[in-house]
Amino acid sequence: MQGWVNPSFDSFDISEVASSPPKKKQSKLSAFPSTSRRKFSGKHFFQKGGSGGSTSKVQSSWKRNVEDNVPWSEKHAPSTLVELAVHKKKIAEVEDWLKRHLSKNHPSYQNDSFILLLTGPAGVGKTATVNTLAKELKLTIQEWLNPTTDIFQKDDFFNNIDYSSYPKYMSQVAKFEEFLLRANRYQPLQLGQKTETNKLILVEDLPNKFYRDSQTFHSILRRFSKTTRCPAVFIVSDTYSTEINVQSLFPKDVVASLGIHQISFNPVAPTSMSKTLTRIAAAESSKGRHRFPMPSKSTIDAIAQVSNGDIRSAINALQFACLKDTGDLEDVLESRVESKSKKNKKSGKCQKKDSTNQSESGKALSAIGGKDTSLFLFRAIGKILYCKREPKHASDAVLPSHLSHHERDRLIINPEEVVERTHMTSENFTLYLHQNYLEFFDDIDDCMEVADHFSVADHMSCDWEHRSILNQYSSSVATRGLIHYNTARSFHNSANTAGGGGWRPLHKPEWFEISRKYRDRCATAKALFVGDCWTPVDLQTQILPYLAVSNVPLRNPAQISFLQEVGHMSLQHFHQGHLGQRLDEKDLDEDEEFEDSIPSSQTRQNLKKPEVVSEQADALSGKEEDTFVIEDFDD
Amino acid sequence: MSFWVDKHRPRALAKLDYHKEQAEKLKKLVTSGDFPHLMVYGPSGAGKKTRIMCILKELYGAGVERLRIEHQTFTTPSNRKVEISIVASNFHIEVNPSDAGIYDRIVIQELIKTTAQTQQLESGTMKDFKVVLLTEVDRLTKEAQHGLRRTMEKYTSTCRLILCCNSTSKVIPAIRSRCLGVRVAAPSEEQIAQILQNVCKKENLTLPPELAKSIASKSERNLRKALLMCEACKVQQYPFSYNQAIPEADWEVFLQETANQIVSQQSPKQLLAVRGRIYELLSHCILPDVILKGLLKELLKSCDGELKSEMSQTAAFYEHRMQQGNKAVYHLEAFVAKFMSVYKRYLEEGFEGMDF
Repeated sequence: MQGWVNPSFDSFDISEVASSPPKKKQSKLSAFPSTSRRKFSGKHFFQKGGSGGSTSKVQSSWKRNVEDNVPWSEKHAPSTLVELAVHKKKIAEVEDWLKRHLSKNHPSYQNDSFILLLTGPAGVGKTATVNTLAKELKLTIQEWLNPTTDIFQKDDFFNNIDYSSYPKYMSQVAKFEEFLLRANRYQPLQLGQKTETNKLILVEDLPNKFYRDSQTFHSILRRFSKTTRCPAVFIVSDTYSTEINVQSLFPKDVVASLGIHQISFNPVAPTSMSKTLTRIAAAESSKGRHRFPMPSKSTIDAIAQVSNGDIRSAINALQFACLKDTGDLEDVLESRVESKSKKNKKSGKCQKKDSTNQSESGKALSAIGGKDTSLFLFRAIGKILYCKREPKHASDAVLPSHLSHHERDRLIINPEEVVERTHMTSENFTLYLHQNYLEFFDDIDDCMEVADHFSVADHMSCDWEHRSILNQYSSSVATRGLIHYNTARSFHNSANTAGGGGWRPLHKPEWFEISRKYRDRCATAKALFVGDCWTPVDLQTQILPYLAVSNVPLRNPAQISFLQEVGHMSLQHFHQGHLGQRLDEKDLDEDEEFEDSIPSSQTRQNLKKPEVVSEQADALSGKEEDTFVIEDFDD
Repeated sequence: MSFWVDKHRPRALAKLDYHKEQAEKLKKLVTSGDFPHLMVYGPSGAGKKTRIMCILKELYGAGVERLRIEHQTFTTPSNRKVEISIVASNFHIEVNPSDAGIYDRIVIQELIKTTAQTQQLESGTMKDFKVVLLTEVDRLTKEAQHGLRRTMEKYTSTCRLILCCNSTSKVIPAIRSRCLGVRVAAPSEEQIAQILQNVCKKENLTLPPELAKSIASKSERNLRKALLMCEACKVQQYPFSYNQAIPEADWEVFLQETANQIVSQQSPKQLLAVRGRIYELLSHCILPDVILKGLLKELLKSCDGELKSEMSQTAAFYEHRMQQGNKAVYHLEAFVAKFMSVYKRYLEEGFEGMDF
């Protein structure tokens, strides 16, 4: 079982095991001697250089045993550029960059550093590209792997022990910095043959601290780019979580200021994926110990499509599928492929990714073990707003004439699934839709219906007791209401003819900012004018606006500045163009809304409390106000 | 800072300008030294708070006007800290429990408990009860109101409550029946005009009666607003002319413009523009329900009878949803969209009618 998870070995280990007969015997029993398992990452080799050929030299029954247990994604890792399933242009781009930065007489541009950033979804071959290119260009890869940190020791603990014999405690971050800044200074120990090799620093693993505190990371990067002339490649996968993402590690300003070159990989195209899968399946079915009939082409195609461009998971799925006969998958897959090809023929356009009929693909997914995919917000909103529909089937029921205005073609997408795949709370997703829907509508009657659905959706989630249950329903109401009343797009081909076929920019919702402003300002108003005992409604709608236009002297500078901010509204200069921030393709939802009616006590504390509290006695007691005592009881 | 509103506020029951008969009765009620829980209700700017302070002064003397601010922190069962500022004198405390949002029940119960549990020390010179003045009772949650009812019964001996609200309709009957209701009606326009004249006389200004009248009519029988307007007029132009423009609050003008935009064009683009304006209003601390009410009032001016009732009903419907929902903008926008749609149809029908 463990052998499946971490079966990769350094060449060093293998040769060691192979040369020692007693261990060899042991290994036959357990397949994996624990001594040889030095590395747990299972993805890549720590040092992988010109000595890669040693694996193939070791010919033993043991090795065969190992090979059967290696995942095919490792075993058939591309060794030449031709085998890479990545688009040729991307490979060329990376190769070009590497070559440019390796040449000794590399002209140093003003704004060009030795850092390359590779991004893209998981399993599209980022690491494989770097590894293969390194092999082609005869580079030594020095990779950073998060070390297991030493046990933290306090200085005053066990005072009697002499520490000089122990290595000093170092945090992961310090080690990382040392690695990055020193890696280029010293050549690796050259034992045996002396060859002049260039080095490449590869960082895929980052110390966890950087995800929370990216400032430190940026300062290390800055120092690195100043001092180093050794190319470093950072590989960061696109993720959907808000904590770990490329934007926080490599924000745009840092990328620009350091001259980091960024290459973003796309998901592997289905055709090249099928090709790779076929190659692997062919090799395994004939050669492997476990023989099996070659899976049919439709099976391979289905796996390629289901994996959504993740070649690693596709190969893994293929391996699992081939453990048994793939014949039993045929039925499920045949029906699926059939319906798909039928569709494709009709639409005349290849819409492989989206045109999967949900129920059928779900069956096939479970049969093959497909990947759970998620969507970027940008695409998810687009899917709802553009709501593409299938062409009409002859078998579709026709509504009676009095309901004909509700006639719609069948949807390509499933709204609930889209919402689920965004990994956002449905409330936030609804807000995004609400911000953007108006630009996709031309008829005010449709808008009315959609706005009403939004209102219902919000109303549904008002009761906190049932909110967790009703959330799904409320987003369903919102999305389906929006889609149904998008009458300009109610039929398959209407999107092309009706207005709004073109691309429109999407925006982030303004509501977060507005409601935060509203709450903060209300709290501020209350804190500033607390002594006067006005109710919020009176204060905000009557006192403040008139205070702004009358010349009542205010004592507190905070009050004056607040009045200038809130009391006046620019009537003439109100511009309509303000639509909030643009939503970029890979932006994540950062705003967390605190639905909370309690004014933050922070804002209150930041304010200077008004010095004089009550004016009510003014008229009676004349100039007695100095005697008023202001006591703040903060208990 | 002293507005005319504060400066010329009557500070004794005898000095009140209107509802004198009621003032007499209140005085009689208080002179006995004790009084039941009171619930003072009436529209905004009618003088509820003025009367309450007069009652307190009658009861305790000038000491109630020496106020201080306390900040109290309450801990909810879920371990959340709720901070509330309380205005207090030695004899009474005033608090707006709706500041605490959904945690108002805890604030009410804890506050009254701590206030009522401490006996007055010098019972010889003072009354043996304290007064807790709760404002905006109609904005309390139902839980808080039920909590209030129980607390009211428990601590009658050491504490009296004065509840202040705009309307009793949102107060549960159990509380209403435990209080003596005092309705403070809005002053008539003539009364407002007269008060404006009095105030101006005290300020050594001459106010033309025409201007006083127009301010009074524009104030919608809200005395506070009238005084504020009058003061703003003075800043704008003095000596007064009888037909000078009365400054309105910026947001009201803004709201009127918004309503005009809605009436002038009904399209999704216009709806988007209106949404921008609603956001602008919200970011200037205008409450969502005030926006909805204001919009309806302006929009109704361009509706005929049948449409009026339909739109009022729609507005009420969405306001109800807004009160219960989370994000006001959905409901405001839904109302505007509904109005646009209905109004457009109304206009189209009107044109068709003209053709035939």
